[in-house]
Amino acid sequence: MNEQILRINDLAVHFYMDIRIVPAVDGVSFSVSRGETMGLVGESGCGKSVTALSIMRLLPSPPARIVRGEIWFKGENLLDKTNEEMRKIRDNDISMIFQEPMTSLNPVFTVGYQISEVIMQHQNVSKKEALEGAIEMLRMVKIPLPEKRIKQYPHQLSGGMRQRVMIAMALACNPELLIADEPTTALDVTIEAQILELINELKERFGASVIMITHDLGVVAEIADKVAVMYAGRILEQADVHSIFNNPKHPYTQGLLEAIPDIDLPRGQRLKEIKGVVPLPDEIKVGCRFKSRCEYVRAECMVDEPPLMQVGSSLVRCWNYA
Amino acid sequence: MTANILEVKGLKKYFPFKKGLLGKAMEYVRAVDGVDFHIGYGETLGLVGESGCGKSTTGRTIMRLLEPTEGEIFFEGQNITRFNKKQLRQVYKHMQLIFQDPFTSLNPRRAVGDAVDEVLLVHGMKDGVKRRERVEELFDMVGLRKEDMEKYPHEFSGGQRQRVVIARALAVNPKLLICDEPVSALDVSIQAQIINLLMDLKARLKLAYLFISHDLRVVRHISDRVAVMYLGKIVEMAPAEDLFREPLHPYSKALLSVIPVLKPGQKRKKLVLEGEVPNPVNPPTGCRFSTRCKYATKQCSEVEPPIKLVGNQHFVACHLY
Repeated sequence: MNEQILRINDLAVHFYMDIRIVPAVDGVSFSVSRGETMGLVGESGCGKSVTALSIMRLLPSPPARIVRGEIWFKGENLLDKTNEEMRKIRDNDISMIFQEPMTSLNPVFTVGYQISEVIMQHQNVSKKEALEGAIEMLRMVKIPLPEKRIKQYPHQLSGGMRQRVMIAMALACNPELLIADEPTTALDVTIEAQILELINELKERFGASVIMITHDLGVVAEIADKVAVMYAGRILEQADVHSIFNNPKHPYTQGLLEAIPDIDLPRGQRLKEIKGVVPLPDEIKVGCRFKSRCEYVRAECMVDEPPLMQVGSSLVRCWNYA
Repeated sequence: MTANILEVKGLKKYFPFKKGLLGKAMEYVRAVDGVDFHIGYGETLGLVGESGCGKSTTGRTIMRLLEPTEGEIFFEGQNITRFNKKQLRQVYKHMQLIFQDPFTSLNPRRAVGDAVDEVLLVHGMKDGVKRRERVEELFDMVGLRKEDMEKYPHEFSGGQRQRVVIARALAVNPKLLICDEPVSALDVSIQAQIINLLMDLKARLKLAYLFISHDLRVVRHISDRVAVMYLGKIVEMAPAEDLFREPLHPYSKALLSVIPVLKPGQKRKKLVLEGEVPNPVNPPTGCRFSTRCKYATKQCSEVEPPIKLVGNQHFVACHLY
């Protein structure tokens, strides 16, 4: 259970734009154990999706370049792999699902064709057997009447159905790691509940590890074992899910939790705001990245960036805990 | 009658589309299919539901951006359902709309100060100096700086742009703001700022809101009363506190049970609905929720339940009550 399946060390990804270099991810480290779900949360532009795409080696290059770091997957550094080797890993070991399934499904092929193609790449089976496998996969992700659905095209399915098809495809190769990038953001709450339940169920059944990328702390509370909170390319706090929600340490994590009009909060009460705006990763040159929006800012925050420090069971990047 | 700023009676909006080989058979998407509600002066009514339930169409039809198919809309006691453009302009002095995506509602080639200025000019404020003062006042009210007036939309973040849009909506001194998913596109830390701003403005200017959103947490927080829509109909309407404490309609119960809470490991009883929302072209007969409702009886699939008063301002459309 405690075997580490993925270990990221000091990952840095820079985007080389015309006139500037944007450090979208700047020294991120974390690990995921077998069967564990890691929640990667943060607001737009914090680098959570870029981190995921780096693991998959799917970053558009140029402009993106991995300038530093290691991504160890089952004892091998993915950054040393050739494109061909990487393609095999994406085929067999790591799958990813995205926010908008329509962009990742091919509109001109039937759902059945697309899933059976994945199955045929992995198992030495006939077309007919692969198609039966596809039906089985669709049944597993609880799509009603799968025999009918395999003959349909993506546009004939609803958003929730498409996301199920994506999950079926992602699981068809029996991956050891599933990366889900905002998989429920485009869906209604009732459908979101269905999909989260499904991911949890399938995780238990296949024993896969999951990296769940989301901006929604509610989703994280629901599904994650441990959580990393990202801000402007850095992890500001990392801990098990209970510590993050019951005892948040970083002012940003605290602020995020208090900014949500939670269902237990008295109605109509002023919400706690985090002042200012979400910065771009290249805006902050010195000191703590959160300093301009932090209530507890101190002199050293202006000069030096705090390291990730062990505080109790959490890792926190804040001088207030030094 | 005049106790309410807005009254909506039997509102329907059907979108026709052609069907069949020669395009002769007409069918209708019944986006809004008989909706009744009112909003009092200074009151916030939340309108929730999932995508395609007709909540946005309701907002747009009230603004007369879409022509209602049936039903009547009363604004401050006046029936505005058949008002012409000129008459509507008078109505728009008191009723304004805010959309989800502020980028699409601002002209990218125009400084935002001018965008607000234009509204004042259109509504007959001829004096340029006075207009300028008013724009400054509005920018201050929504938490923007005077210097921001010269900037263009792309120079702002999403939250700041939403502030500009709110400033523009407030330019004419409205009494009712229809807010269509005003915070849905914003980051969590920014969302709180805009929610607070909307609540402050409500207190300060005695505004009434029709607050349309799929985010139940936000709606609960900001609304006095909440109406739940499903497939073009209101299935339940009640004071926010009551609805969230004890929802009655099976759909509201399911919807509220799946709101994500910030408590890991807390095992809530979730009522995860099976299947999906049926097609609004051919809604189920009887109760529209009957195809997914676990309490559905034969009666439910045959007779449509009327919306009934069951408690203090608590309405529900379900045969169980």
